Amino acid sequence: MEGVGLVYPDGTRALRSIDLHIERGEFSFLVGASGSGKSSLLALIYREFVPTEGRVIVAGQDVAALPRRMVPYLRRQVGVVFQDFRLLPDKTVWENVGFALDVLGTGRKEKHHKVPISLELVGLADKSDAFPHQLSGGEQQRVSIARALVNAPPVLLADEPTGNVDPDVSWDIVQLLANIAERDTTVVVGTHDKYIVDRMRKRVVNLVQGTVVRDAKQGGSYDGT
Amino acid sequence: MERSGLEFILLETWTAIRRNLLITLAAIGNMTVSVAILGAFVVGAINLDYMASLQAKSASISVWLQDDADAGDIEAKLYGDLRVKETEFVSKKQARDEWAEMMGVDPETLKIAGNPLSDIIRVKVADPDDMAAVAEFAEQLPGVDEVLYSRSVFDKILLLSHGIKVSGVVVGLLLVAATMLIVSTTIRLTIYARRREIRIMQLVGATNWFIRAPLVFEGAFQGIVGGILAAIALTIGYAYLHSYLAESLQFIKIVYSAQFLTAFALGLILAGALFGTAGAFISANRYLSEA
Repeated sequence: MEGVGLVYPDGTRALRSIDLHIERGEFSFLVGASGSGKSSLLALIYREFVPTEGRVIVAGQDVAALPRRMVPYLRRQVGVVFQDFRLLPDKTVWENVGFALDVLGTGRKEKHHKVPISLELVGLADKSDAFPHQLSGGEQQRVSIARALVNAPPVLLADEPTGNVDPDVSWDIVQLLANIAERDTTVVVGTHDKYIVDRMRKRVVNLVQGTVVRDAKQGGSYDGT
Repeated sequence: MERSGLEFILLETWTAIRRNLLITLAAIGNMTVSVAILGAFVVGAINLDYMASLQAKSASISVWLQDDADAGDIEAKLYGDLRVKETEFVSKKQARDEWAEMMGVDPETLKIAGNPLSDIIRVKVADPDDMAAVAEFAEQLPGVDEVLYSRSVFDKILLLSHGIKVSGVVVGLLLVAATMLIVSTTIRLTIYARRREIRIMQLVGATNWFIRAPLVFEGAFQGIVGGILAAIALTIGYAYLHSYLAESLQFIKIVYSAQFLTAFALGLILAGALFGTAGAFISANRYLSEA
C-alpha cells in the first residue's frame, strides 16, 4: 500500500479538504464525534462512496477512477469491520468466515486451510460451530474481524468496532487489531472511545465536521473538541 | 469458475427457492399458465397454416373458358405467373365425363342433352395466401368465362389463421410481460430476504456476476419448471385432441408426430427458461445498480 491521499468528498458536505497519508502496516485511529465524517472517510477507502473532489489512492490505485466492475477487486484488498458485526445469523462462525471466501469462488481445499488460520488469529478456533446468537458481542466482533482477514487483505478498516461491545472487551478487540497491524496490514480504526485511544498511544487523526483538525503522529491522546 | 463456486451458487439458489416456497409455486403456476396459453396460440396457428396448405394442395382454381378461347395461350399465361404451381387442361368432354362420374350417371346418357360445360384449366397455387389474387388475375384474362374456387372455406381458414397469429402475438406479448413481472417480483423478494448476505458479498468483494448468478438461476428454475408443466399439459391435451379428431372429425387433420411434439415441448421449456431468466435479470440488475 502506497498511501491514502484524500481531498474532499461531498454529499451534505461530509468531508472537506482532507489530506491524509497512511503508511503500509501503520495502525491509526480516526476519531471524532458522531457525524464528524469518520464513517464517510472510511467508506471512501472501500469505495462505498466516490469522492466528489480530490483523489483517494489505495495501494497505488485511484479509487475514484476505478470502473464499477473493478470495485469487487478493490474490496478484496480492503477488509471492513462494522459496529454491528454484520454476521449472518443462520450460519455458524466457521461458515460466516468461509462465506467471504465462498463468494470469491475459492476452492474447498483453500477454504479449509484459510478459515481455521483466521479463526485462530482472533482466538475463536474453539467456537467454530457456534451460531452468532450464542456468542457475546466481543466474540461476534472477533468473527467479523476473522471474516475481514480471511482473504489476507493489505488494508483493514474498522468502523466503531467497539461500539456494541462491553468496555473491558473493547480493549482486547483493539489490541487484536493492533496485532494485525504488526503483520504488515494497514489498520484504520474509526472510534470515539477516548479511553482506548488514550491508552494505545498510536497515531490519531481527529476529525471535526468533516475536516482534520489534528493529526498526532505518535501516541496522541484524544482531543475532545 | 471453480467447482465450489458453482456449488455455492446452486446451494444459494436452492435455499432461496425453499425459503420463498409459496411465492415460488405461485410464480411457477403463473409461468405454466402463460407458457401454456402462448403454446396453445402457437400450435393453433401452426395447425391452421397446415390445414390451409393441405387445402391448397387439394383445392384448385377452376378457370372456365369461353367456347372460342385459345386454351393453350391462357394456360401459358397462367403457368407463367410465379405464384402458380401447376396447371391442368381439362377439355369440355373430359369435364363432362368427370361430372357424370361424380353424379353417378352414364356419360352416354348425358350426350343426349348436349354438353353444357366448357373447357377448364385447373390451377394450383404454391401459397394458399395467393389464391384470391391468382383467381382475380385469371378472371381478367381474355377468353375466360368464369373463375371458381372454394373461396368461402379458404378465406375463412386464412382469416382465422391470420387472426390467431395477430392475437397470439398481442396476447403472447402481454402474457410474457406479466410473467416476467411476476418472476422479477419473486426475485425481488429473494433479494429482500438476502439483502444482508448480498451486502456482505459486496463488501468482501464478490463480483456482480457472482451475486447475480443465484438470482438468475432461481428465475431460470421457475421458468423451466413452469415450461415443463406447460409442456406436459399441452402435450397431453394435444394428444387427446388428436385422438378425438381421428375418431369423430376425420376431415380435420392436425400436425401430429413424435418429432413435432418433442420440438414443441422443448420449445415451451426453452421459452419458460428464457422468460424466467430475463425476469430475474431485470430485478437483479435493477437492485445491483442501485446499491
